Amino acid sequence: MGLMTKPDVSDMELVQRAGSDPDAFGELYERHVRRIYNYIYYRTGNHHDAEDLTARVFQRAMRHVVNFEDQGVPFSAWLYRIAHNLVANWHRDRSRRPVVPLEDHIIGSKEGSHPEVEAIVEEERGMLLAAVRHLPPDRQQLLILKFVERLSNAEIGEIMGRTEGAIKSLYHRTLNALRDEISSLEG
Amino acid sequence: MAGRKPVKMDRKELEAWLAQVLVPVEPNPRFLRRLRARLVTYQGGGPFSGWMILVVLATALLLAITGLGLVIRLILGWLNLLGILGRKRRDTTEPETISV
Repeated sequence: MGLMTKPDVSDMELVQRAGSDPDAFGELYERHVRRIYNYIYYRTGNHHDAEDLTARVFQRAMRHVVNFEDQGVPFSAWLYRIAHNLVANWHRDRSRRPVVPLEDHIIGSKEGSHPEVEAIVEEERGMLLAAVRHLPPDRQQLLILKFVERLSNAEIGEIMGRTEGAIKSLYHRTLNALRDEISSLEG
Repeated sequence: MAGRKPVKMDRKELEAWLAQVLVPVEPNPRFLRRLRARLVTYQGGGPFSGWMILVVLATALLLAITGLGLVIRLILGWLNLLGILGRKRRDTTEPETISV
């Protein structure tokens, strides 16, 4: 106890206490849940599955947090890896039973904007997200970490277990592949 | 961005588009609260924690003792009633036996 929302306490200290102190795990949860949720949301494309998978990530993390060892890899990288595996399973199950998420096709209406303009914006947004989701999982992860989380190449490298240079190179290749995907979706 | 045809866009343009589309989303606060409660409850103070088992056992023991006390009181009360009734019956039949 006594660890409630202390930014000076490191993740590793919290991890060490999380096995016996529920508040320590609660603090880790508060620190990382939004990131993991965003990652899963952009990988799945809907809030319902993002909530379900985020819950599973943290339940799994809680069960195995006592086995987590400090090998220089941040705790967030471990969480992303769990999320990555669960999303991969989700995609595999979904490919067997294809379903169309409803909210992907709902166009939100904003007051004051022309419905036709909104529809075009939404269509373009949908096309870009579809193109992103056609990329291999590691490239999707890179784009999410870079644009949603606004992390640097070095931070992304820590999470993805690659060097900063490798991330830079992967990013370059990802943008080229994305351009090709967009062209093929348009064509 | 509306109405733009993103054919042959350059790198800067694509990055700007990504920055516009890939924005952080905020999870439902109720979902976050519930999940946190579920995780913390599951780990520490859940229904199978040591303290909870102790409290349940102590309550069961207390209820058993109270129940046993009640049963003993009822039996004693019933025996007492039988005794009173028996004495009353004896008192009403006693004069006849004396005359005999």
